[in-house]
Amino acid sequence: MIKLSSDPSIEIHDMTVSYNRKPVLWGVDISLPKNQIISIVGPNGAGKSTLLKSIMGLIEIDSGYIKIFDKSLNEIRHKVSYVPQRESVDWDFPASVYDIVMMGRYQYMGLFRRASKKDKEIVLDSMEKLSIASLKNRQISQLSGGQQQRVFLARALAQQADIYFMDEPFSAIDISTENAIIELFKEMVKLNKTIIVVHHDIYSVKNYFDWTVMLNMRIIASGPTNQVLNAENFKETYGSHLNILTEVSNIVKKERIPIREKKLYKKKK
Amino acid sequence: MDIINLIYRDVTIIYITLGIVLLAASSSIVGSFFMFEKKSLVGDAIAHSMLPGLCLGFLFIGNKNPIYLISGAFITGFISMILIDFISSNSKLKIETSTSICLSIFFGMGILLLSITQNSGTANQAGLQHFLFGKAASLLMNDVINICILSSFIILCVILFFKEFRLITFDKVFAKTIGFPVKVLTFILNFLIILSITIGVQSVGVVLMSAMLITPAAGARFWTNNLYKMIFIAANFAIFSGIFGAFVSYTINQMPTGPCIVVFMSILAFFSFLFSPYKGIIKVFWKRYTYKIRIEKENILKFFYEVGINNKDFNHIISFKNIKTNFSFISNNKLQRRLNTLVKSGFLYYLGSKRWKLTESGKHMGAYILKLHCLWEAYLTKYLNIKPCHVHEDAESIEHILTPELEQELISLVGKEFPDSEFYDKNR
Repeated sequence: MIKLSSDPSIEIHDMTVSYNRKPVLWGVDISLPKNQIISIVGPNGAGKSTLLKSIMGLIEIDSGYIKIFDKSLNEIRHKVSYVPQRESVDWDFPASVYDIVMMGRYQYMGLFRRASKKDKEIVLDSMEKLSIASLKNRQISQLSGGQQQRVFLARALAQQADIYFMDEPFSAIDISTENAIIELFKEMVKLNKTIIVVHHDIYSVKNYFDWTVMLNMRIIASGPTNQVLNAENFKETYGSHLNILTEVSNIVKKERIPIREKKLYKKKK
Repeated sequence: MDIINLIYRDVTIIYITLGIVLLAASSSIVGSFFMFEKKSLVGDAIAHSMLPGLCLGFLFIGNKNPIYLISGAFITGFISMILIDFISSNSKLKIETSTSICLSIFFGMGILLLSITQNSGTANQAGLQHFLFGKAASLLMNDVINICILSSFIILCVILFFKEFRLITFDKVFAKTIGFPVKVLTFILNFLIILSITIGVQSVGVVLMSAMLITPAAGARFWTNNLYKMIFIAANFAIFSGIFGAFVSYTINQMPTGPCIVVFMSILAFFSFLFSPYKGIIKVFWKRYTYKIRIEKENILKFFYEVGINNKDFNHIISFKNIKTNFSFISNNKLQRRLNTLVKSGFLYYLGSKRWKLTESGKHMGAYILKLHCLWEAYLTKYLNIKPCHVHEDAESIEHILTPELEQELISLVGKEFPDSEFYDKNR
């Protein structure tokens, strides 16, 4: 079941994406509502992270288009925040918690400029909300996994965006922190923010999220969580009858065929 | 005094040293970022790849006009960098493979061209081999002025782009999502790297130039966790090595500058590696050693206490032979030393003829260690569902590292089920 939203925060139309030349998302066609906490679930290798990365323009898409608040990403970049996976950076980098959270303000500072008083206030406030203000001057190499995750979330908060895309924000954190972060998300939704989260724990989806997207190389379901979360969708997402799609993907990768034929001609131009 | 007089009399060494110092400072500053980009080896490849450019510059012009030589070096260094990226992103070869391919191919071509120029018979070619290991003494006033201008330019750029460079070396993906021109910034950083290598090849040489980029940063990393401070320390390491390297090379005939500077840098880096109070290797070993001694002492006290429990007499006297049967893995000598220190710190009485018994504070200590041991065993059985027969060994090591705070937490968790808590409290 793919339910469309009448007043969407994000609209993805017929999107196909390859990662390392291997097609991982086929014909994604969804629209997601505003002011909700939304989860994207699916098994390993289903393309959850790839979906977020394509939305953020980090991966070139093979076909289709993406609109956020009815605009292209470049037009409203400062309204969009992205939280990468915690493991994507080297936490041995010499920087303090404050330095990293301040990076959330860089987009407002522009080149060559330094942090203003307002920037500093927002950074402190963001750290406060994730209860890491006491770690302000702590070196990031000395943080636990959960603290690192909260540093990334604080950085996102400091961006003061309207829509947040988060890749596995609940990995490596304990249940009480998870609850605190969900409470924070609920507060943010009240302030007209939209939060889209790649989530790995299918059991907590029901309690945490208003809307759920089930994904396994293609969209299996998208809609209000209580309508989407049923045995049939579950079986289709996590079941293994997708062999044909996987095998075709492997051939495309091996033979170096672009997934859309027009791409063959683009290069010649 | 002779040496000092020599320095003051000779103006040349002063301006050459100034050039080297600025060069060393600028390359170590920009090299620090390169190290965090995990491209240390790429820097080495770029430097080696400059040799064919230098030789081609000479072959085209026929004299050693630095502008042409330096331009040639810059161009081949740049091509090499592009090629490394191109090969690793368009083939199955990983970055380290493409780096070593480019390094060896370009350097091989460079050596070949160097041989050709040396056999060409023109008198001008003399001194071209200095580009291998560098000869600061061959720098002219003009060269030094060029080095000063370009080094200052590099340092200025890093100051201007500090925030941006920090962001792209820490988290490129995030930088892209907030709309930073990551490609342009990466290009600027790479450009500054190549520029600093280029201006260094004449005085330091292509073979060792990459050490100027990476060694100071690697050494400085041991002293601080703050990027500003780290770069500041790296620059100071570089300046210090630059001054001494240039001086030694200038005063000793036939001594190339590059190796001199690198030797001083390596000494500093090695010193940091050994003696840093945070992560230095000696500190780590010392910690491990003192920990081992502490464990041995605690185990001896625990043994005394356990014997006391078994005999229902904490003043029970134990002979060396008895102790030794329980600590057969510790040599007699060491065991004797541990017992002596325990006597000195007032945990044991020595009764003569190799016999000891517990003091009052020794009793407390023994009871405390046994308490921690039992607490951990109780915790493992209750909360981790580990079979009672398996928990002993684990507790043997954990008993030594539990802090008072953790102890309180454990007591509140397992306190009620803790079988002998009253007994241990009574004896503390």
